[in-house]
Amino acid sequence: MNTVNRIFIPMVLIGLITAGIIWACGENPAILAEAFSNTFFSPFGLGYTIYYATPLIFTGLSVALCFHAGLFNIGAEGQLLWGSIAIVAVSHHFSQLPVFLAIPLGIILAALAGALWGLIPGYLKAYRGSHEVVVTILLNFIATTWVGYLILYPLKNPNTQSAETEIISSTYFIPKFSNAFSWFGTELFRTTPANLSFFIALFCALLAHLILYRSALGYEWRAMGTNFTAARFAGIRTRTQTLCLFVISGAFAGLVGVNEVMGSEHKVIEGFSPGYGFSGIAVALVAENNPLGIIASAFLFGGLQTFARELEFLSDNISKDISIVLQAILLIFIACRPWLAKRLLKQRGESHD
Amino acid sequence: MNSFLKALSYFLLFFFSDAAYPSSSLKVGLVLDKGGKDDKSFNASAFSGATEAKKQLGIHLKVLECQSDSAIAASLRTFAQHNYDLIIGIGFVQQSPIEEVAKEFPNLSFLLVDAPSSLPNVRSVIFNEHEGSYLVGVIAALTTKTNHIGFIGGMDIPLIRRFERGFRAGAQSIEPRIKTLTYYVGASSDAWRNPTKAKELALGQFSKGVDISFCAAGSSCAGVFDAAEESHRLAIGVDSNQNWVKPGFILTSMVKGVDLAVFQTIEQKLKGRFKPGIIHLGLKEGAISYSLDQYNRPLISAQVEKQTNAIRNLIMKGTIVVPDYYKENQRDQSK
Repeated sequence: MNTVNRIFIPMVLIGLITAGIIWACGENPAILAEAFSNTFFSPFGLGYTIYYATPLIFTGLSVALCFHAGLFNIGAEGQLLWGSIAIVAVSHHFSQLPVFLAIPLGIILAALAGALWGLIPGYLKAYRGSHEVVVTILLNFIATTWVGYLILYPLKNPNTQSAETEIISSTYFIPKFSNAFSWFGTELFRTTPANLSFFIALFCALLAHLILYRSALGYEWRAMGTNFTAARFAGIRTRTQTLCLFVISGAFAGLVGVNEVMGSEHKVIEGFSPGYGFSGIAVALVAENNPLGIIASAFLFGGLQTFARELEFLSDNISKDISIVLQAILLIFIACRPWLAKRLLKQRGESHD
Repeated sequence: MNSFLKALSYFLLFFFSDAAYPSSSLKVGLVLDKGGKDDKSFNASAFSGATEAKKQLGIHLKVLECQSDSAIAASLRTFAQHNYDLIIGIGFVQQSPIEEVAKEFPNLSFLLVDAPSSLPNVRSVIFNEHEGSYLVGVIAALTTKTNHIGFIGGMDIPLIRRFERGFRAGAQSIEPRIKTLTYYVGASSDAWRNPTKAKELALGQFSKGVDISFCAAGSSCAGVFDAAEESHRLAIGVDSNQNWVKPGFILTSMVKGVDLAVFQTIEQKLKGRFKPGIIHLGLKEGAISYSLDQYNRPLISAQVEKQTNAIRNLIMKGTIVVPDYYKENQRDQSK
């Protein structure tokens, strides 16, 4: 069973089911092809796909790292909110910093703020034995309301009635693709919010890959995931490592703020995240927690968002909720992949690779 | 693999993407805010104006709803990218996204409702909500039996305080000792679609002796109407004519002619007379009014109607000047 078939057959099936849904809505399924090409083969669609994929890489990594040690970080949503608001706060207090200081400071503080919010469930899990799923889920609510307060009162933009913070100082701006490559005479992904923080996400994925598979630290984490008790008896300091994992996961999630605040919007809009933290779980799942695979699966999920908007645009009866339906179909196929592979193998009489 | 998919999609494109609409007709894109086209209120009004234009003027219309505020810019850009002639943004939250996109696409025209913008390709419409709120305040004061009325605002922002200020002033012009109880659903944009909380607030008001409550909270108002029905009190609707939603329990509605503004702008664009700039629409222009139809006819006596219309005429003549929250609190919005 080669990999092409393992990916290709589910994809075709997903395509057929989606076409069926579209047809049942009274639309021409051919718009699927048009939406697909608008999403991945037009500079506009691709720019938006990159923009949506960037935060999903961060949250996907955040979830995946913990998964490797058998821990569940459902708190990426709260961690990314703190990461975002931290950038606005630092720009509020240090608005005159030169670019070469401002950008690293913003990035570091975003990671730090996320890390601090990750420290809480990490500590409670490691030293107090609380269940990390419950703690992280509940901390999301606290983060939403607390950050909501910061957006609406201390950091509110007084010039608008919208629920959003002031605009950060321009020295904190990370260039968009359209400006960054202007010396070449091209405005890459013109008018889209895709920005250079995408490369930070790629770098983080590479870093996570190296830590996980090329360092003693990663080895210990994976040992914890395989057999926690054995790992503890083998001398791995599981408590410290649990704390450490949640801090690093939180830092990755916090970096979402870099894409959103420093890269594109330059402010925190209340409720800006369409559930990046939760989609991160699906992203990690699809990639089987492989950091490099997360890049691809973040593209898939980011593309789905653009794709759903294109579908809504091209049709009369389809609303944007189609993206949730598509995600669900995708997840069902991912979940039943082992079963599907077995069935297909049986029919062909091949052996498992 | 990828090249195969690419080839496949181009192949399908080539065969199926025939011109879906005649290229000669005007293409209008409408971007609604969080409330969505079924909020029976603000967005619904914009939607009905645009569908009316589609029916009467034969334009090509496409509507996109935004589940989150951060999706607005993406939706506006999708229209711009497909060269829509006129792109309409409903709601003050669209102010900065519209300005951003209007700068990127200087050749396209934009309409922004509820917030000011002075870009050369943006027409922005601001309604004199305080005038209409004053009128429904008058009706409430003439109808109340407990001399105690209520106001339920959506998000606590100057725009909604402007409703409240006008409403209170209108009621006090009839009965200076009338008591007004004011609640807001919230401070964030979720306040526009939280009917559960709005209902709690309304029940709270009714239990404190309020017998008429004016709701300015988008789709949250459904909760206030429910509460009015349960407690056998009256509610006042907002933005669209909402009298039909709960006949007998909705005293009247403060109608904001978003549909009118949308329709007229589309018509002007079609005839090549699109004018950018900030436009104020109020009672005088017929864009603000209170609703009276078969659903609330039994609730409003001829006497009340006569008195209210007399006051309306005085406002239109300028004899009565309705207090304006924007002007009282010289904010950026009062340009």
